[in-house]
Amino acid sequence: MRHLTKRLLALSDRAYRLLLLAYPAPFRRAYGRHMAQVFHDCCRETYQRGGPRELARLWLRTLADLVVTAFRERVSESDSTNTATPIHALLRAGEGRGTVRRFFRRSDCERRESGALTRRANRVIKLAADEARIFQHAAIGPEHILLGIMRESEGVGALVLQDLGITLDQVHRSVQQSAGAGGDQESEWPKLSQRAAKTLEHAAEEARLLNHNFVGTEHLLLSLTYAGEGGAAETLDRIGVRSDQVRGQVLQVLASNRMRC
Amino acid sequence: MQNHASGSEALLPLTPAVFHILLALADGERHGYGIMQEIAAISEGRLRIGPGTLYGSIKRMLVDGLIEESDERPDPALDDERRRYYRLTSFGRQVAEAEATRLARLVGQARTRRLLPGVEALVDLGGA
Repeated sequence: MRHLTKRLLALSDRAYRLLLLAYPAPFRRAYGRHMAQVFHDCCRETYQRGGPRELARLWLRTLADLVVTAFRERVSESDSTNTATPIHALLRAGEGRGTVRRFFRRSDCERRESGALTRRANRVIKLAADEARIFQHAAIGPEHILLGIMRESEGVGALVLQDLGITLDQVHRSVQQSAGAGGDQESEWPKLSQRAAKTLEHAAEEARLLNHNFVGTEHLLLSLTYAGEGGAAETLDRIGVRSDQVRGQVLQVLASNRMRC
Repeated sequence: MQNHASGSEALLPLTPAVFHILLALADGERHGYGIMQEIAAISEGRLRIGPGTLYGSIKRMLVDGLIEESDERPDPALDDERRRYYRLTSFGRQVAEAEATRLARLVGQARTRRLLPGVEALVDLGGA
């Protein structure tokens, strides 16, 4: 009987793992393992409490949840393609916009061939703007882009930072220490600073060096590891993370997964 | 970070799942299954969310900066598998407070309109 229970639960686990394919790949990569774990825990507890009957009920509820949320995730995945507007708003307001505008114009022209920011990278810039606004800094700097990468939470950049055990609070504190809370005027769309423009240019360069025809969160993160104008090496340093650690981890993830984010 | 306060109202009203997750994390960090168990306790079993709703909400809450990941470690009460823990950010706490205030006002309105006869009903509502 015990043996049968074990097999039933194992079967249930396997079936759910298979069903996770209904979710878009990035979502699955970020949360699939945890969802399977949670479902496993639920099954075990439900079975102990109510036997096969309750387990069947749990399955029905979970299937309904799966259909609705897989659909929602797929829609939100395709929705977020449309994040260009804030960036254009940024550029309109931006200082140092010459460089950045050139960058974006170029990526527009060559969208098919090279240099286009991925959806996730676009989102990172949007979140960076949000961070600058929260700090009441007048312009987006590389450190806000770092925060943006973390908050985006699903791209290779975010995964690498998570793997290194870096938390959002740590980075917030580090930025606060260096830049302070900024009494700058609050504007809805902070400008992109010259330094952040450099970050984007370096990111495009990183992508070219890796032979990638897109600029993703991993390239943004790579370009932040520099100590120069467009980098956030100091911010990382204060958290106790070495730039070459970040670099190494990014390249390792890219090599092992060849993930496109 | 002080300017987060003005942003906290912008996210309201929260979905039931998001508000319950915030409630579940109010007294400390938990992993995914821990959050589910706590939600079942808070809602007296009335709200049951599946893994898809749980992690879909967690994903959006991370993006909005309401919660953050703490670390990954095993839960000694369950098994030795590593689990990822989540905790409220200070912004998340502000948003939870703002939502609670909004709901309390709404309940106040219901009371003045005699839609909430007694204390028993209030207790009942608290779990819904």
